[in-house]
Amino acid sequence: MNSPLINADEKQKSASKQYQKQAILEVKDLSIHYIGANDITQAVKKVSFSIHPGEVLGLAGESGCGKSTIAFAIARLTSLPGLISDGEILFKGDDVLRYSEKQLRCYRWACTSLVFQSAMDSLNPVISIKEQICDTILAHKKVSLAEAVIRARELMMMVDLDPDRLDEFPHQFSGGMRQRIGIALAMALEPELIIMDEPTTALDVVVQRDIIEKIFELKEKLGFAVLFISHDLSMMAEFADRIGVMKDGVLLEIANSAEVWDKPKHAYTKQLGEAFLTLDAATGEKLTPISDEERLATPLLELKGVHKTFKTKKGWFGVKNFNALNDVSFKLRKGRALALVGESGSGKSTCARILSRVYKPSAGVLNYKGVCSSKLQSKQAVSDYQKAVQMIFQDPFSSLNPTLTIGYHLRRPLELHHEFENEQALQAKIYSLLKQVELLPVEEMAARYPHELSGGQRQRVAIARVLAIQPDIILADEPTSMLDVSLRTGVLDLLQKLKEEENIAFLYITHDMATARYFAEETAILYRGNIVEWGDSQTVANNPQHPYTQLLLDSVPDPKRPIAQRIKEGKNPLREIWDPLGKGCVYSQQCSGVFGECSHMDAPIIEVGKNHFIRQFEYL
Amino acid sequence: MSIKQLKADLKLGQQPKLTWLPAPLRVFILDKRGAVGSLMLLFIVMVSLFAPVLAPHDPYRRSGASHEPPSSEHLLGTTRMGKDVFSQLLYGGRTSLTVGFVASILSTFIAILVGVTSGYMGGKVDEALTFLTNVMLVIPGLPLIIVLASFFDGGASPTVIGLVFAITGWAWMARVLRTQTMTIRTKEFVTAAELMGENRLKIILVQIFPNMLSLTVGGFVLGTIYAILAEAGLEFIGIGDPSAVTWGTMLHWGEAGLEFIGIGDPSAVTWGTMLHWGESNQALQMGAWWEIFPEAIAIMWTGAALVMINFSVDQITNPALGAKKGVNKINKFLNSRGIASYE
Repeated sequence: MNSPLINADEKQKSASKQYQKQAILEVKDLSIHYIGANDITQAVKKVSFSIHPGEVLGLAGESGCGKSTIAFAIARLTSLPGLISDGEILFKGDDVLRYSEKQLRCYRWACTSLVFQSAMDSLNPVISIKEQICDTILAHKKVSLAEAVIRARELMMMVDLDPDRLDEFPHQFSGGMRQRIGIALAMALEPELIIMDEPTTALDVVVQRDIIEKIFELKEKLGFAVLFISHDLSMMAEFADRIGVMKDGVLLEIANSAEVWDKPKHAYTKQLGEAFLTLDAATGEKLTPISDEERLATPLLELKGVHKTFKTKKGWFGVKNFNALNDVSFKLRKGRALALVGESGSGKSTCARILSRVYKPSAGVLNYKGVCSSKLQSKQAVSDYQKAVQMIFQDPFSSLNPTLTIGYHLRRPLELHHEFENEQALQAKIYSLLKQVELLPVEEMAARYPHELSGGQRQRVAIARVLAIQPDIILADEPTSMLDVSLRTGVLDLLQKLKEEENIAFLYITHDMATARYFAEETAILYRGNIVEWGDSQTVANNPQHPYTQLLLDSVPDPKRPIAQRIKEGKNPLREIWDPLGKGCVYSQQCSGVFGECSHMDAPIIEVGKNHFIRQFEYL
Repeated sequence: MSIKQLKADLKLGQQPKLTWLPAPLRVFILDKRGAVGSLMLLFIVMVSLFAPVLAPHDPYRRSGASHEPPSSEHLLGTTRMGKDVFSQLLYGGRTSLTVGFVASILSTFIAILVGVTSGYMGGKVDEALTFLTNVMLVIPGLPLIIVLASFFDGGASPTVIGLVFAITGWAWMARVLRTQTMTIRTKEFVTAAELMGENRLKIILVQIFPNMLSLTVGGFVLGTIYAILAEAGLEFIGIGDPSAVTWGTMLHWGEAGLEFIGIGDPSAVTWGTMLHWGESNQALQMGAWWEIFPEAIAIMWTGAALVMINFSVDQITNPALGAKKGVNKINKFLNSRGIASYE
């Protein structure tokens, strides 16, 4: 590209000309409206772009910017109240918007197919994988069932799944595997364009890395084009050839990935890129280090050698034990945050439930201000504990009751835990809480219902509700993962303010190392119910010692390391061993039964640096 | 054709009406079917309520010759016994509607109590209540009523029939509410309330129940239709109290064929008993259509009103139903732009 002999501009021009000739899909001046109760609003405003064979085009933007609406329009899946009002969608020169129902049946899935965000919902739970894939093939091609099955096995192998598992049902696969099945299904008819609507958003970092590498490999091999929709600009920058950035239905800019990431033309693109906390950016300069006295003082809340075993049914009468937590110990200190980092199923939420006394630990103790919580017998003591430990949930759409006003959400905790002289004092307290979480104007906000607020505002209400109780400890279960990126730092900064001003201890549960580093003084890495590494956040992030922590950090999207380069370097060997879903790890469930009593459960703890510990590991 | 034109065609953007009402109620009232249904129901309720004022004759006594055709004296003619059909219709409505509503209110109440409790509490309580619900589901309501009715001297009064409906009719709705409660129970706002130390009754009544209100109202409306129709049906075949004047007994005495079983209490007036007497009196064979049609139409009228209300309530629960409104106008718009239209 940068050869001095050829004028770079001219080369690019000729390249784009050639591109236009071959464009597989061209969207021209597309407008989409939504018919509401009182008005028709425009969701997509005269958007134009094209996709070329074998290209990955990323479409980035926050929720409500119209990116998914475009994806659905391309597959002609728009349904009322959505309304494609203007423009053209040319698939190899044919206008998709003018297709009849019959033409559409040939076009959908055979020419363009979709991969949805939630593979859980897009696969039918009562039909086997084989049937789902074969049905798709048989509906479009005149082949025998046997041939369809052969094709289905082939597809399973393409996405690295065991073809013998074809007869199984969706629930027997993990989230990442289901998403692979979704991709296999999308490739069943060899379409030239696959639209992927946030295919990795619901997945963990390591699994996400796996999926996008698989998509990239398949794309290189089979040559289909991908329209990749996501809000994650940093992942997109690593993965896509070109990126389009959308806001409020307008395509702000569209250019090569590197250009969009390094030299954004539009202010919003810049803002979107910066909103992402990359690991290097989050150095935690707002945090003060923990002093030695603090370390020695009695912690507010302490887990000591906690185990949690669940009994799951096996067969008709059999019971199988499942170890959700294994010898977990940590301390929560006043005015400090501990980040608990791990993938789904690692036991993070079980920890939070033990701390909020929803579950009882199977073994080990939970100390509150140095007193064992099992000694809390009197009603008063239990209620005091309940008051002291509160929780902020992940999903602000499910944690507020749609039938109650914001005011009521704050009124109840106040009434239950505090006494007020009169109604005015109570009302004043509600308003001051709303002010504290920056929801203004307070009177208006108190009268509103949850559906009238945005995701970030709702999460602020949830925080205010917890503050109303004046707890000592807040358990924050991924409080920002469901929010748009631009809102995340705002909510984290608010929590940071509370931590300092109100001296509240936080347990910050997350799967994102970057925000852990930004917000929490200490970090503990949880892997399959075991804490494998813990210490000061900066140390853990800068100098990870445990292979699993190294893998986690390596999997975080990094725009400076494009995916093609990563694939050339080869798959990170740690992934095979420490894959939470794979086999062969020392702590894996598979190994515990087959090789007799698992000797690694009580692996010794080694101090690798000052206040930095890991659990010893070895490979089988 | 422009978007503006479409907006005008679909009559959007007009000043929102009745903004002071809570949103669900507004949807209900602004939906034509709901409004018409409510008016129809209100009309029949008012007419029945004011029966003593409106009725020209005593429905229980002779006021003319046998089978007199409609005239200014007897608006809907007389029965074979010479009683005034119009007066019977008005009085019959009082009993039929009361039975319908009371039975439905009672059974809805039981369904909420059982369904929500078992859904929220789970465990042993849930197992016991689900067992009870399943038993009630397989008990056939109609034969039970026939058996019960035979215990009462002179037949089952409308009150007894209503009670039996209430007791046998709650199970299905309880199941629906139980499932719904279990779904809402896992929502984080319920967990949040529990962690906050909110008491159980408040969680059930304030946090959970309002989220299933439209489901409950829908169930209540359908239950009322069922109770009115079933009551009319029972009275019609003569299980009920044959002397009662209901729309059902009126029909019964007008038609021939079914033997009068005689286990009813012979003094009530409901639409069911009216049908019953009309049937027994072979009204149609005698050409006295006026003894059969008025109460039959009254029953249909009430049923239609309630069904329309139910459509409207459905739309509150499931807003997607409303999205298809004006699809013809939208297609016209799309055709004018050469874009394929919706089916």
